[in-house]
Order: sequence, then C-alpha cells, then structure tokens
Amino acid sequence: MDVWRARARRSAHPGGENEADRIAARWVAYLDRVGGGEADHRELRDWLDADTRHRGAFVRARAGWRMLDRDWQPGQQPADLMNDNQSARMSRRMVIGGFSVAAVAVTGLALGGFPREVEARVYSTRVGEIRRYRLDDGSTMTLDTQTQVEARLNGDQRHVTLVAGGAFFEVNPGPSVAFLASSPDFRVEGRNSSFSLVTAPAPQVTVAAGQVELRRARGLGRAPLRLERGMRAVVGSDGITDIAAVSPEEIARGLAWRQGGISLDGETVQQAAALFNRYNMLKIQVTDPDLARQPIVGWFRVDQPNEFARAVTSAFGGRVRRGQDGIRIGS
Amino acid sequence: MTEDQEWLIATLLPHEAEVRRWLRRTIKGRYDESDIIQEAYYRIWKTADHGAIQSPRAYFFKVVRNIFLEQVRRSKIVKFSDLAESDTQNIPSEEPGAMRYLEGRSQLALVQMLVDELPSRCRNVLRLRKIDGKSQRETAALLGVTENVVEKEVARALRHLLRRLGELENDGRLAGEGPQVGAPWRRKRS
Repeated sequence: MDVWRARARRSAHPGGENEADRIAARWVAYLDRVGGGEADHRELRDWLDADTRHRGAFVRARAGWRMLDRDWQPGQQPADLMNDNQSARMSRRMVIGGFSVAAVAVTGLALGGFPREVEARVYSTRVGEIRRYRLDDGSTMTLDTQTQVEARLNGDQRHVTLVAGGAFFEVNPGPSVAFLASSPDFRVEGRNSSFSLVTAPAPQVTVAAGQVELRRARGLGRAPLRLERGMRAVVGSDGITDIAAVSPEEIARGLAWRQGGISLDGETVQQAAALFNRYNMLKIQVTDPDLARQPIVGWFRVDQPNEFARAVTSAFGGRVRRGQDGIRIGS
Repeated sequence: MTEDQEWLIATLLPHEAEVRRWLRRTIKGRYDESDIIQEAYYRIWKTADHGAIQSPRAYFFKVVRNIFLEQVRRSKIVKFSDLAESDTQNIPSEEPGAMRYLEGRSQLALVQMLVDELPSRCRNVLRLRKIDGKSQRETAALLGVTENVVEKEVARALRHLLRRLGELENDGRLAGEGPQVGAPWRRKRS
C-alpha cells in the first residue's frame, strides 16, 4: 500500500465517497441482480485483489445493502432477529413502505403484529379522584386525577392507552402476551413489572419494579430502550428524553398520590401549588414571586390545599386569603 | 462474506461519521480520508477473531489511527508537529451523541429517513426488492423499466445510504436535518 497523498480527487465533502466506493456500490447492485459472490465473478475478484481498499469499500457496501434488509440492533446478533419474522417483516415495511410512522404508532401494529380489533373500554377519573382498577387480564392500574385510559384486552393483546393524566400499572406476569401501555409520548412494554406513565406536565415513565421496553411513540427515536427498576425517562422541554436512575425514595415520593399524598422535596412553592391545583377545584394562586420561588419539603394530602397554604406562610411568612376564586398566598 | 463479518461491519457503519470527523481533524488534508476508511474496513474484515472485539467503536478508532500512523512514518519527511499536533494518542472518549444515537435512534429509523430522501423511482425499487422480496428482474417488470435501470437504482440508493451515514452528526442527526427531529435519548448520569 502506498502512502496516500492527498489527491485531486479527494472526497468532495464530509462523508464523501471516492471511486472505489462508487465501483463497490455498482458491484453490490450487480450481485443483487445476478446472484453469486466474488467466487463466481472473475472480474470482481480481480478488482478486489487489486487493492485492499477495494475490498474495504466492497465489504462496507455489502453491509450497507444488508442494513436495508432487517431491523438489526447494535448488540443483537442477526440470528436473534431472524427468529422474529413477523416483527422483521413489519420493520422492513416501515423502512421502505409508504407506511406512515404515525399511523403505525396509533394503531399499535408495530409491536404486536396484527391484533384483532377490540372495543376499547374507557376508564377515567375526575378532578381529585384517584382510583384503582383491576383489569381483565389480572393487571391493575391506578389512575391519578383527571386521567383517561382506554383499555383493549383480549387473548391476543393487552393494550392500554393513556390519553391524558397519569397512571400506575402493575402488570400481571401470567399471560404470555406482553402488556403494552402507550401514551402520546411513549410506548411501554412490560411483562412482569410495575411502572408509572404520565402525560403532563413533563411526559415520563418511571419503573418501580421489573423492567420495561421503552419506545418513543413519535419521531424517529423508535429503538426500544430497556428501562430497569429505578429508572425514569422524562421528555424535556427540548423534546429530548432524559434517562436517569432515581432512588427508591424518589420513586415512592413520585407515587405518593396513590395514597392520596403529595410529597414535596425541594419543589418550589409555585410548583407545589400547581400540583395541588390538579386535585382541587379550589385553586391556589401564589401572588408573591419571591415566595413562589422558595423550595419546600413536606407531605400533604392532595385534598387539603389549605393545610399547604398555612404551612407555606408559617414557614416563609406571608398571608393566606381565601375567596370565591380560590386560595391566594401572598405577602 | 460470512454473516459474522457482515454483522461486524454493519455495527461499524454508525460510528463511521465520528471516526471520519476525528480522522479529518488529524490528517489535515494530507491523506485521502476515504482511502484510510476503506483500508480500515479491509483490515477489520480480515481480522480472524471477531468475537474478541469488545467495542467495535474503539476498535474502529484503533485501526484507523494505526493506518494513519503508518502513513506518516512512511512519508519521507515528517515534521514533528505532524505527530504532536494530531493528537493520535487520544481516541476521543465516547461522544455522548454516539451513545444517544445507538440507543435512541435505531438503524431502522435512520435507514427509514435515508430512504425517504430518495427519489420516488429509487424508493419504489427498494420497496419491491427489499419488502416484497421481488428479484431485480421482477421489479423491473413491475415498474416497466429495464433491469439495467433497476440495477442502477439499487447502486444509487446504496451510495446515498453510505454517503449519508458518513455525515451523521454527533447526536445522531444528519447534516441538514432540523433540530429535534427524532428527539434522541439522552442518558444522564446520576
């Protein structure tokens, strides 16, 4: 191999190709047409033997052509993927077909093949209502305030759709079919796990037990990500999903609502007020901006915003005014 | 080319853009970037024990760096600064983007987007060939074009895919792609 001096035909732009790349692509296309390998085509063999770089360009192009074949994931051997014909076929369809990604996400075809249409059963909670339901498959779900869930369950599928609000799911590991919970932002698949799924204010998934496979419902970040117990995925305001490990205490705190509690640990008064307002018709308004910024720690009942207001003013000073329109905390 | 080899090479493709960026900074136009990349693929392909490769990305970097250093040594005149400045000892640490890319953006999604960039006839050829499993001959008949056209479109699609893979940004986005498309994952250490 000679020293490769920069030449006039240097790659024209980043990620550029050179003559060997172009020829390699032509050979791969040709082999795709006529079949066979280098052993069957003397001209190709000669070209490959002429320069190691030709071989490099060729194996690269071959691998690229194969990439269009199947939905392989880093860390997964091809053999595993071959077993899953149905999903592989779906994936290819999504790659090249005219399939709209959104349509696939909505109808839930991507994960489970082609489930039969099942009529959805709708569960919902009103402001301040927290309810636990046992689903037909033996799983349970606890709905937070102002939540709506559509459940489609039969022998072929276990699919719940969180339309709005937040919910905690405890999946019955019995049925062989995976339990799928989707929200406008996520698709969470679990078999033996407990997790919460929230749509607002920041869409998130927190795994309390077991593990789940997480996908983004929209966009291109659709590779499944394994989320273990103690991990949380949150969609930031920039649309990027952060994955972080959270402590067991933090998880318990985030689930305090199931016992009708609000557990505060450093939230600002403003953020805490917003939490209470989700559970109560009587809204809290923090009129003093300095007070609104104060961090606060404590445990409250969701239906006792007055207790909260009193605690705030006794800690930071200020006054509580109650009126028709709600509770005002100010100086 | 065995399945094993093909798989290994395919795991390198998503790292190629990052390796190219590093290489470009290092060679400063003295050598042909694509030549070195091709030589690297060749050497990795030739490697007997693929199973021993722990991190394809680190391995890719190592091979590329070695090839570069060989070239420098073979040059008749090597300025000391060539080596001193080129930071050849340090393989860049895992760019957070690479991690995000691998986790958040499957090959599938990426390929999907690249395919979307193709002209319609090219895309139709790919669809018939790869989804419907038609041969190039059948594809040609269905589209009412000659087999030569189909073969050309296949080569064209492939070149596009490979070229664009080389242009991946750190965060898995493609050059020219707007922000937040694909909203990749971000792993926080805590």
